[in-house]
Amino acid sequence: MMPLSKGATFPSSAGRPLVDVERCEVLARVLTDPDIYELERQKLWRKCWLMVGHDSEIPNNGDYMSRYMGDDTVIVTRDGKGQIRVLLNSCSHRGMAVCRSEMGHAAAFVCPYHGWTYGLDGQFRGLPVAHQKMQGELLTKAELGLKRARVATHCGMIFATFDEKAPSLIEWLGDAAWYLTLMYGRSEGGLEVLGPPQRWVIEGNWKLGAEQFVGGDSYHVYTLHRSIFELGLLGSTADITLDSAPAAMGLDISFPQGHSFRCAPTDFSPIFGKDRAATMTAREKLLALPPPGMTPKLVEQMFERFDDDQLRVLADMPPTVGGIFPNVGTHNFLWAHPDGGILGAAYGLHSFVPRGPNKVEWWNWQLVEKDSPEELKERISETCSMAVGPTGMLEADDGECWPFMQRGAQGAVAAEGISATIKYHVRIGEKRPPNWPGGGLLSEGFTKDDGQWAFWLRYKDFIEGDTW
Amino acid sequence: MNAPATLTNAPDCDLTSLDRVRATDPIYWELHEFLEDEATLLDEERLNEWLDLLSDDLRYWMPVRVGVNRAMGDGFSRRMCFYNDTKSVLAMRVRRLVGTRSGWVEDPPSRVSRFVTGIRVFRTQKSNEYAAESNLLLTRSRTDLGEVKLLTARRRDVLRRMDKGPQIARREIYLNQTTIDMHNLAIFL
Repeated sequence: MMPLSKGATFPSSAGRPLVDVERCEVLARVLTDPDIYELERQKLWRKCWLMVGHDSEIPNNGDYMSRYMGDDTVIVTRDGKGQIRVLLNSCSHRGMAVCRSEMGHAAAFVCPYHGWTYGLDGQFRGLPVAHQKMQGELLTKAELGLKRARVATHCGMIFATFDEKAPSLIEWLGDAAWYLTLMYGRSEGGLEVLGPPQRWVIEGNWKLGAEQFVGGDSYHVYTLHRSIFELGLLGSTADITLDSAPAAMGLDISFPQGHSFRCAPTDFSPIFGKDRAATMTAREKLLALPPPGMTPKLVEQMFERFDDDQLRVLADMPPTVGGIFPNVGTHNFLWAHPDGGILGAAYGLHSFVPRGPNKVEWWNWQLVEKDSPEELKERISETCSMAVGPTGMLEADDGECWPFMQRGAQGAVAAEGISATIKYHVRIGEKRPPNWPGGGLLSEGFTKDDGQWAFWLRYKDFIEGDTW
Repeated sequence: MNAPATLTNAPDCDLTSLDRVRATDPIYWELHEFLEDEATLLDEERLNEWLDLLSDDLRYWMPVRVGVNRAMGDGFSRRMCFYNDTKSVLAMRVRRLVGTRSGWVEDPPSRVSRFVTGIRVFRTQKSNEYAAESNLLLTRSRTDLGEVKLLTARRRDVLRRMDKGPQIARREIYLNQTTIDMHNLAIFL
């Protein structure tokens, strides 16, 4: 493995930098090169705050679930005191996984190999034939515990990092936290998962998915997902043009931490008429058309939690898709069921878990408001699987795309000249909508490359070691 | 130990309390051939003809599964699904594939074979409805790749005998895979 220092380049890339900040281009080999994958293991996955699940997946003390942080396997537990712990799933003895069930409830983890036992807080509890001192004398009991990650939560999302030097989660999220709260922190009762996440494997690099979501790519929607408009979904019609596509105009928001969101305007005039829509307050709008996954009753609750600025953004220009660096995707948008009845939604979180340079495992959590009626939860179960995940009519298209990008990046000729890079030439830059209350780089207009470029700039920091 | 709240066991997978329709009964072979014909329509991508085999009140359901300790049950989710479709949703999925100009998720199409075996048929409370269990082995080849991807499942159908022939009134698909080793699923099982 060749260590990269700041600004260093790969010899076979004719002196071109991995992330070219002048041309706004990224060498496509960033997708395929095993050396870069190894660098990411050390310099990125080892350090970032990573989302490992949702707190509703482990509601009771003693609940646990198996997860990944980069290539490392971890157990996420709620220990006897109710505290969430993230533990390396590797026995201190010989490295056997102490937990092989994807989820469950336990009083302790007993390694199936030699029987070393750990509490749900990771502490070493004991071992068989203790009088023979089978743990030796080199290490104390305290040192024999499972490695613990730092843990923090935001709106029910559980994040963890093994880097002691990493800033707090709130600093890591920066101004993106405000938007996450708008998407996932609307109600008193909070959100719950519909069940365990969907998982599926795509033969492409993890950054293909991450760049699209964390970068908030909306441009691809008009081509890759065109069939959705042809079907008349997402409030569109078959004769849609690029200019008349829903949410063609909107707001890209990106952050120096690498996160971004795409906010799309809600047009109330088809429902209420132009005149009425122009005079409606944010509260009236939100009660008339609750945010995806909510009911008027929950909206009333939300009025107590959110200030006027937050309500105005949610009513007129809510965040619909986006992501948190390096590999979390966010989505919340309405989705109608063809049988009619109550409106459904696509509501949830994604994670792109690396599986070597040429493979990624895509995880999809689906979320509902805990206090929403059963009928709405069932409807969202139906509409989520229609829209997102491997069977979703939107995301099945994404899965088709990335393996072909991966294959294309592997050629020798493809690594030369113009085809050697993926390109982010078109950016809006700072263009603030009037009176916008949230932070971040605000880029109003037809979606461009601002969000994806923020992802790559932050990626560059990590790979070059300029992390904190 | 009971399954966690978000999980459920495959409902009524034990059909032994129901009357078995033996292979000596002509109804068994009618439904057996129906499932073979249905698989052939899907293999040959005659998707609109396939839709005609589905009853208007159909539920087409494939839950997410997790690999858990035996004491917790078989790991199927109650509400987290890959498919939780009515007939009109399936009709929309079919229209997307063969009725739009942008159904390129399956164009070029996957080459799929469905091997349906172990068909067992049972009488239900309703005189014209039968429960049918079957194993499914699905093989999928894509573009110029030599590899074959697999899905295996146990299916539990409610088949309704109508004048014009049997219809599928319910299909539950219990996958063996927890993580799907495929880039997407725009095909039917």
